[in-house]
Formats: sequence, structure tokens, C-alpha cells
Amino acid sequence: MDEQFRILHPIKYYRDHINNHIRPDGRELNKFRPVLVNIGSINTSDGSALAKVGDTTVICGIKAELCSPKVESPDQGFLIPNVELPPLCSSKFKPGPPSEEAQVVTQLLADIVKNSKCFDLKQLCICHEKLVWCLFADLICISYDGSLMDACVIALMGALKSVQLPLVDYDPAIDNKLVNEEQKNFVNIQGIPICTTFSMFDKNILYDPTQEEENLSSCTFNVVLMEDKLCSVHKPGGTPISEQNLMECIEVSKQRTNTICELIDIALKKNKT
Amino acid sequence: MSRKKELISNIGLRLDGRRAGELRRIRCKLGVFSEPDGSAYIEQGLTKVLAAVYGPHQVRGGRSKAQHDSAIVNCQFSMAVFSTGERKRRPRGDRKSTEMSIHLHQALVAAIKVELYPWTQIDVYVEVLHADGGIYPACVNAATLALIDAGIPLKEYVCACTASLANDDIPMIDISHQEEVMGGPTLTVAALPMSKKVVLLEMSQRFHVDHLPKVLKTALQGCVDIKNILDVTVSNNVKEIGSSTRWGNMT
Amino acid sequence: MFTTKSFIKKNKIGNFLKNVREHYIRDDIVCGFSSCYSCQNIQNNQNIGCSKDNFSSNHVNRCKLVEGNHYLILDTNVVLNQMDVLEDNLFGNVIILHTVLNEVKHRSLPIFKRLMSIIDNPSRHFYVFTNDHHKDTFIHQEDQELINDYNDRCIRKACTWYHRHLPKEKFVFLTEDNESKRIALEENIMTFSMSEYVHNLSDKHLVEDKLAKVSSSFPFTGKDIYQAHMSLVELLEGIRGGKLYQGTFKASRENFLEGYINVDGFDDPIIVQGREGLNRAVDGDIVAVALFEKEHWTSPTEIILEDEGVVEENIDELVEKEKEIKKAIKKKGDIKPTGKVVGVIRRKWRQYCGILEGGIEGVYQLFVPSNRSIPKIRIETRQAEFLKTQKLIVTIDSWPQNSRYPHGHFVRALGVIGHQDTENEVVLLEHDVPHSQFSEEVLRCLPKLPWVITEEDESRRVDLRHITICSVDPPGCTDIDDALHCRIIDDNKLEVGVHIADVSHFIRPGTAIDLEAASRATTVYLVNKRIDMVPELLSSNLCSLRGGEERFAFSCIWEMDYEANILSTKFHKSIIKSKSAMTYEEAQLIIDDKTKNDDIAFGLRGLNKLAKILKTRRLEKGALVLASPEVKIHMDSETMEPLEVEVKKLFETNSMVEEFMLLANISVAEKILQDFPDCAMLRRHPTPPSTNFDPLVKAGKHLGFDIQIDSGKKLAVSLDQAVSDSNPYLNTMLRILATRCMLQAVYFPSGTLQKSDFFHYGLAVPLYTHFTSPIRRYADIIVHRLLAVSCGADSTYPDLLDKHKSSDLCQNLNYRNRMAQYAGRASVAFNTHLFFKGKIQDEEGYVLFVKKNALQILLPKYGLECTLYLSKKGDESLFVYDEEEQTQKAGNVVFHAFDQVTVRVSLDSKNIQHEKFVLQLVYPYIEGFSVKPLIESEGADKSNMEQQTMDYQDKCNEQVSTMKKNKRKTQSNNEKRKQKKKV
Repeated sequence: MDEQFRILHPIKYYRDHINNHIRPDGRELNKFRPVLVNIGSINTSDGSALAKVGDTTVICGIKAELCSPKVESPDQGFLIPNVELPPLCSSKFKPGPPSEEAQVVTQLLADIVKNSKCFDLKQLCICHEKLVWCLFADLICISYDGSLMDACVIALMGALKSVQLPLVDYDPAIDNKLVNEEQKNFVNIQGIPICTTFSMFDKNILYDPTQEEENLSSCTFNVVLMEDKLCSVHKPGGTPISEQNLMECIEVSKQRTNTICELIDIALKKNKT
Repeated sequence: MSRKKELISNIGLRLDGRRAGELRRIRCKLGVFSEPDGSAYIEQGLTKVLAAVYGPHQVRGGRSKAQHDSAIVNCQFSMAVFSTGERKRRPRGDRKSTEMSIHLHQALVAAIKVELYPWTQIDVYVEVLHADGGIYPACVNAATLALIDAGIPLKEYVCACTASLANDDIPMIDISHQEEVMGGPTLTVAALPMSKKVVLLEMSQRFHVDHLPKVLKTALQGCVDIKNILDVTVSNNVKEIGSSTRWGNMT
Repeated sequence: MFTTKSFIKKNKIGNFLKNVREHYIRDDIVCGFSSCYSCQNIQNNQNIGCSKDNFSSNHVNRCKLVEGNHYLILDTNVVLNQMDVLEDNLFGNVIILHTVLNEVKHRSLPIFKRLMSIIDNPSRHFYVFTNDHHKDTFIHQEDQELINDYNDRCIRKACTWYHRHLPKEKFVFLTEDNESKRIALEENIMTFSMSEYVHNLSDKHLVEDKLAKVSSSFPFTGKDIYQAHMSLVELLEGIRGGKLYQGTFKASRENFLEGYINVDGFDDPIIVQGREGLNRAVDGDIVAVALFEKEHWTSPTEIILEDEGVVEENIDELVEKEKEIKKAIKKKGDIKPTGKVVGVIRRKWRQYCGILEGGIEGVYQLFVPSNRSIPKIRIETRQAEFLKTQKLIVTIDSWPQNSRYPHGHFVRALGVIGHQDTENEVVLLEHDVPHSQFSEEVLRCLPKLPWVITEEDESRRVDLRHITICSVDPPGCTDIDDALHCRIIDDNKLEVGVHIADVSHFIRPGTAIDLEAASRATTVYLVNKRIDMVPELLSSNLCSLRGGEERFAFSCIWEMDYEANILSTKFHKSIIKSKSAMTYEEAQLIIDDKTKNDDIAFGLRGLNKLAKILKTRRLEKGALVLASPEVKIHMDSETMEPLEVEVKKLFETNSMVEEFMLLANISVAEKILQDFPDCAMLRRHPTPPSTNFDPLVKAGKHLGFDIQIDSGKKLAVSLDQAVSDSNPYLNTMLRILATRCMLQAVYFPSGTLQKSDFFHYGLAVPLYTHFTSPIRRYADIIVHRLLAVSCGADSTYPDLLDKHKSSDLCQNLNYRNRMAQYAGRASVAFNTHLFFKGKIQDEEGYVLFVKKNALQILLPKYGLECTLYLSKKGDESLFVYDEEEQTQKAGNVVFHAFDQVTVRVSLDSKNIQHEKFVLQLVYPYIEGFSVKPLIESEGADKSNMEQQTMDYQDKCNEQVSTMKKNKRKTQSNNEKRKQKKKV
């Protein structure tokens, strides 16, 4: 009966639940789903991580390649995130070129990395104007169940933390690259930005919404914090929210940030051993 | 005289320490995700593949494609860009992926009882997370498991395996990437191992017809071995689900 | 059967690619001892591996250092350095760890092959233990651990494991590395160095001699004679930075203090001179060379210097010679890049054949390699007196900075110096010719006698027994592999057939006999010995198209018009019955005898007529003729190599047979390429680079001839025009020079090259292959098989269609062919030496090259090239050398290239290794330099010369008659070969 009701009258179904301060998956409104981080799961990449937020699973693999820098930033390398939402992860996505959502998430992710200044692209420079590292961070969502950004950011940061680059001896005069395999260094990360997604359903704020909740809610927005600093708030339209609500959300995010950073650190340690 | 490296040492071990007739380690799991109707994950050696099945559901994108007597099976193969040693520029849509999708379709159609679901569509998506040789077989095996997880009736398991010829003499099963690269032709076979029917046969490089029977036989044996491993996983999975819903106690 | 234990991953970043590999660890790997109960169980359960005993209780290792019997575990460096010792039968019951095996394979393929052949020999009891996949002996590589340290750790782990696994047995670990030894001893592993162990062997016999001298164990430690080599890292950096160049070092054969380094990107090789320049490089080494500033560049010295050093570290003589070089160097004119060797990137040391230098006492001896490009080698031996009578094999171990000569060790003795058998053995070994008896397994592949033609055979083959087919060969030929026929089919059409022995019918792919033939690649002809490619039953009987006998053949049949235009070609297997096996001379007589009008005579005349047309047409197209019949130097028109003096007259029939063989080969080449575009075995003769012709053009210019080298055709024409009335031999000399400009013709599978590269330069045909001599060439067998598939007479087999396999096969064929040719020449040279032993005679010769202190003289009668020194050591030369004109002048006598001279030839046997010809000038007479002729009158001289020629022939025959076996046959086969090589 429950299932039929859910399919036929989804909004009513939800409203009934939420009025009782419980969500259909058994969570209270202000509870997050469990987060799982696994680092170094893809050996073919130079850094990788798998992040699970509830059922949303994102896997990130970073591949390092050598290339020449842009003229306007001769001492900077590249970090290029790319999010894929294959049809495998949800019936929502169709085979074919990247969906709009995938492109939006990709751009958002790039902005977060850039704005938070968590990663200094200068460290990717090998030889001024000649040779830099380019880190391709490819994120594949293998299961989509809402709060995608949260999972993406965790996966990306986890993978970045595990990137080890070999030392490269470069002689610009003869364009000769020599990769020193023995000596590999981790890249430097200034901090870990963490994203938290919220949804508005009627007047209630749902923390860490599932896909279904995102679809039914009137607006979805996310907050990105690095340590105690606010990096970005992204609210693409929908019903307006009060400042009070927003402040509350930021406060909650702050607490969550610390726990997730710890999680990443633990996963990293586990991988090293 | 020979330029090719030896794939099997004279002690009878392959480069990774297997013997000629041994598969790589296979680990698999059913129902890894809740979103799709059926999903599975398989590891064959280092090759890791994820498969998801949606359907049977309404035919998407124009009903004209729908068939009155059977379900449409839509397969899509995709490889994560970081799955190989060199970063792949195009995870899907390139020729190889398209070919893989088609081959996958061919193998699965042979096993799925499509006639039971007229006017519907079954989507099978596979994603290669880590490629280390034998991608196609891993995809077929993963897709089979996902189909079972989705509860779609199959005639029987459809399993695939590769085989090659080591040192131009010894047939060798389940080829790793290293072995693929180092030489020798690779024969990929998808089969219905219980009825011993070959569904798909693909060969890379030329090799002499005299060698075919023994290589084929080896590959088929590999399919049977894989089937047995999958079978154990499926029955364990059923038992688990059964015990949680107390089926196990019902007699 | 599915057994996976656990696995680790190996990561590797190479060229920014990340590779990950699996590594399975097993529990079914056995220790190899049949007495070990637990391992036997595994073996029985798994039903794998052989149950034979890997170790022998009969073989006991006895060493004073260890009580009782024990088993040996070797370190990688022991295998790499002490292979010669390990090859001694004294060593048995040895455990080779897989780690060691892999490392050896990685470091040195030749050593790896030798090790494998020991392991494969069951009587040696070498057991391979796969320690890196064994669950108890596998260890992880630590972070930052160097691969060498890791391997050493693996080896020690395995030693400890064996010790624990079989506490009753004793295991001895042998290593060359002191550090390894120290750590191993700390871990309570019984460890010795190889030399410790060998010196304490109970029954050491002469193994000690074979110990490689890794560390400087010679008592000659003086101050450094050579400059230190740079480290490999420095070298590679230097090369990368463009300061150094990498190349292959080629030692000069004439001057032991001079060498050349061929470097990519340089037109001329870089010259290195003197001790400083050569700096311990040995012929063939890959070295790094530093180039001098341009003002220090020199030119080749063009003097001839020999090493006359002694065993002690005395470099006075060396310094003296260096001064000589300095004197010889001229700064002006023709300078070439010059440099010095600063380090060796890879040594290409191998085993060398030679003798001990006489007159040295004690255990330290100097070894003189027979190859003059290789320096003398110092060895330590306890059997010097015996070895001085022997030809022996020695290998180089090291060349320390403070040693004038490289250090080496004795490997084995071949036999008494100067003995015919020993010398043959030396020739065969030096040229890597497989010459052991055919194995039982090979002989089992031969058809049973009596051999009969079955009905089945008849049904599959075209019956040509009724056709008048005959063969034309040199006298006494036993391996007749071709026969011909020609008949009229209608008014303006002739049918011409070439029938080749169907060897591929008897040699089936993949059989032992096939593998053996493929490895041998060709029959090798020495002066008094023939090393067959296939056993005699086939070569001289079943395959030989003997007169009057029914034989299987592969036929190539053309329909031609009278103008020798091919109207149609077909190939099929057939049964033939040759009507007559003739010699060239017999055939010629029949053609010339107008009274004969039978089928044979008609056929021969027809063939002869067509052949003449074919030949003219071929020459018009630009085929080169590098043979000149009137001077009787026999040339190989295809490989462009002078074979040797041929005193016999060439008949038209020689050329007749040759033409049809060429035609058959070309037709077959077209056919198989059409049907097997990827894997047809073809033969190409590359166009030589124009720089190769420099000496020829230069020589031509001095004589006033313009030698055109733009194309084969132009070359052929300009050679034809270069005739001098005053010196009839001049044209031949030019052709000899031209021959030396040529590259080797080679086999290749068609799939490996562009079509434009298939060209055969010498024959001026776009496609060529070898089809006509399957009895003595393996390439022809392959071509037969391809053609058989083409015409539906046979089926393919895997390797035949495998491009890479074919390519490997071709490489072997080319290598063996080249070596066979060199071996044949070396054999001739040795026999010429034998002939001249104790003789002194005057001979007519021609100046080939004018050098700074010598003239190269060619003695056409013997095909000999000798050096006439113009100045004695220390004396002032009477001659003035003109470099521009390439002349030497003394008084009013001027020597140009190609001038005729008379010289007195004798053999200097002081050095039994390098017996050399000593030439003295007889004519033109130069006061104070020339000697008086032996016989005054010119007429007498001439007849004497003829007499000598006869002597030479007789002498050769004599040698042959001393060979018990097949006197007639070998001699005649040898002749036959000369004829056949033309094709």
C-alpha cells in the first residue's frame, strides 16, 4: 500500500511524513545520511577516491599529464574536474552527450576549487612557461540519489589528497623530460572545502536530501565551507529562503565539515598502510 | 630467434604466477545499488566492472521502436577515463565502445527471454572502472549478474572468457592486459555454458586455424568455470535475501 | 584447479603511464626434492609438475669448505660472471631461484640462454625454484627499496626457507658480492664466494682456469695506464646534453691503436687513435665518445701496426707505437672527426678463438685472438704448456685501468694448432655454424628405404616422366636440385620447364628435421668438408634429380615464343624422370655437335637460344656483371661477392642454366607475393648508398674513367666502358672494387617492407626470391611451401603465415648465409696458407690500393689480397707518398692503383696464429728494395706459374684425399657450390 501511495501521490505522501517530522527513509529532517570515503581504490589513476553519501556514490580518478601552461599564467598548472552522470547511475539520465546537470555540476565544482583557493596551481609548475602538470579529475557518479555536490566534493578532495606526482627533471634546452619514478611527492592542499546540500519542502528545510526529495522540494541549495570560512552558497532559483534559515544551514554545515574532514583523513591513513 | 617474450615460463607459470588453465581471481556482488532495478559488480583480476539494469520499462524515445513480440535490449558500454594506463579521451561513443555495446547486446539477447516482455525495453549499462584485460568478458559476466539481480528471466547464464595461445602452443585462459599486449592472438568467447552453445566469438589478430579447436575449448572451459563461480554468488545472494525475509524458514 | 592465494600489486610509472599488475602467490610450488614428503603430497594432489627427480643422489658436490654433500644456491652475479665455470660438469644439484633467472634474463640474454640450456639438461640437475610466487618465500618490496636490494633479500629469504624446509640437507649460497655475503652470513646462511668455493673443490681439475677474474686478481698492478671511464650516469647525461656521442666501436684490423666509431647523424665515423683514444674499447662495444675540437681532428693513419706487447705491464712498446701514429698523422687535407672514448655503455664481449702467445713462462699467459680486431687477452692457467699447442677459446672478464690488456679466462681447448680438424672446428665456431651430427630425432624423420612412389603420389602429381628432361651440373655433383626441358608445342610456341627437387615433400613443417634445417639455414662448404643442411639420404639421393630415376619435382612451366617472351606460367608438383644428368661440358658438346639431333640436343639448343635472349634483355635493364670470364675470377652475380679463383673455362651452358634459374625465381616471386602479400619470403638486394661507391669512383678518376653510379644501369654501362688496352686486367679490377661497394642481398617477408624496397639491385628486377636450390638452402623450402599452397598442392601451417615468425626466420637465414660465406672464405684462406707453407715463389699481381706505408696487392691466381710494406721498421722509406694522386714514388718508378707488379710470396710462420704472407717486390725493380726474380727467363717464369697453379690444385686435392670420407664428392660439391652460388 505504502509504495502505491508514494507513486500516486508523492507530494502528499511526503507532506504526511514531514508533518510528523520524519522522512520516508526514516531520517529526521535535520539528519544527514551516513558518509563513506574510500581512498586509492583505482590503481590506474594517480589519485582516486570513492565517496558515498547515502546511496549517492561518486568515484573520482585523477590522472596527471604533462603539458605546456597558458601564456597568461605561465607558472600555473591545471586542475580540470569533469563530472559524468552516466545513465547507469539513475533512470533520470539518458545515454548521449553530457546532460545539462552534469555540465552544471562540473562548472560548480571547478568554481569551488578555484574560489576556495584550496589548491595552489603553482605547485604544478615544473618549468616556467614550458612544462606544467595537468590534473584531470574525472568524477563518475555510479549511483545517484540526491546531494550530488556533497559526494562530488568529497570524492574530489579525497582523490586530490592521494595524488602523488613523480619528480620531473626537465631540460628546456633540448626538451627532454626525465621522470624520476623513485621519488614521488604528495600535492599540497591548503584546506578541504566541504559542500552540504539542503532542500526546502514547504516551510521545512531537509538536510542532505535524496533524489526524490530534491525533485519534490521547492528549492535546493548548497553551502560550501572550508574549515570555518564560507566559500560559496549556491542557490539556483526556487522559492526564497530567509536569512535566518540560511544562517542556520551554514552553522550546521560548519559542524558537518569537521566530521567529514576527519573521515577523509582516516581514509587516507588507511590507504597508506 | 623469437622476438616475443615467453608468456609461460618453462616451469609452467604465467607472468603473474598463474598456470595456463587458471582464471584470475573473481569477486562479485549482486545488488550493489538501490536505484537501478538490478545491479552487480565484478572483479576479474584487476578488471573491475559495474553493471546496472533498468527495466523492463516503457520504451523510451518513440514507441515506433517497440516490438510486439519481444523486449528491446538496450546496452551501453562505457569506460571510465581513468580506467586505463593512459587517460582515455572519450569514455563512450567512440568506435570501440560502440562495438563493445553491440557485442554486449548480441550476447545478452541470446540469454534473455525477451519474448516475455513485448512492447518493453530493458536497459543494460556497464561501466568499466578499471581495465586490465578481458574487459568484454567482465562486462558480459557483470551484465548477467545484474540481469539476475533485476529478476529478468534468462534462459541460462551467459558467460564470457578470453583465451590465447602461449608460446604458440599452450592454450591459456583469461588473458590479462600484460599478456594481451605482449603478443598472441586473443579469442573472446561468450557462451551459454550449460548448453555449451557459443553466442559470440571474436578474435584479435590472425592465427592459424589449426590452433583454433584447442583455444576455443579452453575458452569454453573458462566460461563453465566462471559460470560456477557466478552461480555460487547468486545462490549466496538469494540465501541472504531469503534469510532476511524469512524465506529460508518457510517450507 | 582455481587457486588464488593472495596477491599484491606492482606499480610502475614509466613515461607517465601507470601500470598495475597482478602477482599471484601459490602454495603448490615444490622444493624439488623427491625425498621431501610435504612437497610430494602437493605434487600428487595437484597432478602438476614432473615427478622425476630434480636432484641426483649420484652427483655429490665435494668441497673442502663444506662437510659432505650439499646443494648450491647461486646469486645472480655468480651466474652472470661465472658461466664458464657453471658449464663444467663438476657442478650439479644446483637450485636456480626464479628471481635470479629473471634478473639474468634482464641483464644478459646470451648468458640466460646458456643457463637455460644447462637447466634443460637433465644430467646436470639444475632445478628452478619459483621463489617469487611461493607463499613462504615471497616478500614485498619495501617503499624506496632499490630493486637490487630487494632481489638480494628475496634470494636470502629463499636460502633460509630451504634451510628450514629441509633441515637435513645442506645448502650453500654462492655469491660474488662481498656485501651480500656479509649479510647472508649474518643471517646464518652458509655463504662462500665463487672463487673461495672453486679453489677448495676436492676435484677441481682445471675449473680454476675458468674462473672469471672479476676483481683484479693478477699481480700486475702498476700505475694507471688508461684514463678512467666516466660513470654511466655521466655518460647518459653527456649524450643527452649533446656533449658526447654514442656509437659502436670498430677496431681497425690493420692498426691495433686505431678504431672507428659509427655514430648516427655523422657522415663519417669518428676516428679514435692511440691508448687515450681507444681507452679499452673492444671491437663491437657500444661506447660514448667525446669529440675533439676541430683543430685537433686528424685523418686515418693509413699505416699498419701490430701489437707486440708482452705479458708484463710494460708500455714502452706501446708508447713507441703511439709515437709512430703521431708521425703518421697529417694535419692537412682530408681530416675527419676525431675523438676519444670516455666510457663504455655496453660491452659486447663474447668468446674468442685463438692461441697463446709463445715464449711466455708461468701461469699468466697472453692469449692472441685469431680475429685481429680483438686485443690480446691476459689469462691465468695452470696448463700453459699444453695449451700452447692448442687452439683455445677465451673470454674477457674485465679490463682494469691499470692493465695494458684485458683480463680473461680460459673456456676450453679445441685441438692441436694447424691440424685440419681443429682449423675446421675453429672456422665453424668462429662463424657460429651448427655442425654437430644430425640427432636421432632428425634421422627418424627420414623416409624408410626402399622408397617407392605410391599411387596416391601419382594421383596428386602431374606425370612428366615421358618428357625429355635433363639436368646440367658441374662434374661429380651429387645434389642435383634442378633439371630443365624445352619442347615445341606449336609453330610459334615453346614449352620450357624448370624442375626443382621437391624437398618440401620430405621435410614437413614442425618436424625435428624441419627445425634443424631451419636452424642450419644453408649447407656450408669448406674446402674439404661439407656441412649439410639436410641429411645425406635426402641431399644426395631421394631429392637429387639423378639421371634415369623417378623423382618428385616442383615444376615451373612456361609457354614462350621464340623471342623468349613468356606467354603463360604455371606451377605444379610433378614426377619426372631425368633422361640424362650432364656436366656443363657435356651439354656444351651436345649443343655444338651438329650431328646430334635427338630430343636432348634439340632441347638444349632451344634453351640455350632463349637463355641468350634472356641474358641480353636482363643486361639491358641494368643487371650488373661483375664477373669477367677471361680472367677467370668467379663472381657471385647475385650476392656480388667474389668467390675465388676459377681456373676452369666457363661454358655457355653455365649461363644457360643460370638464366633459367633466375627466370624461375622471378616467376615464383611474383606468384607468391600475389597470393601472400604479407608473408611471402623474398630476397632483395638493396641499392648501396652512393658513399659506398667512393673508392670506386676515386679509383676510376685516377685512371681517367668516369664511373657513373646514379643507377645500376649507368654503373653497368660505365664499367663496360672502362677498358684499357695496356692493362687488360684493369676492367676486372674495377669490377672487383665495384663488388666491394655492394650491400648484402637479404631474405625478408614481404609484409615488413614497402614494395619499392623489394628491388634487387644486382639483378635489376623488382622482385626476386630463391626457389631453385631447396636441398642446400632453407629459404627455398619455405618458398616451395608457399608456392605449394598457392597452387593447391599443400596446406598452410601457422608459422608460415606469421609475419613476425617469418621475419625472425629471415634474420636467422641471413645471418647463417653470411656466416656460411665467411666460413667458406676462411677455409679457403687457411688452405691457401697451407699451400704456401715452406714455399717461396714469384707471382703476378696488381696494386689494389696505395697506402701510406704499404701497397695492397691482389694476386688473382689465388684470390689473395696481401700487403707489401714499403718501409721496414725503423728504416727511412725510399718512397714518396702522394696522397692526392694516390701514388707511391721511388726514383722513376711510380705505383698507381691497378698497376701490374710481380712479387715474391712466402709465408711467415713465426706466428702460428697469424701466419701471414710476406711480399717482396720483384718487378718493377727498385734498387735497394726489390729482390731478384727466382727464375730469370720470362718464358720459364710463365710456365713455372702454370706449374704452380697445378701444384695448388694438386695440393688441394691432396688435402681432400687425406679426408677419408667422400673424397670425390666433397671436392665436386665444392665446385658445384661455386657454380650454384651464381643463381
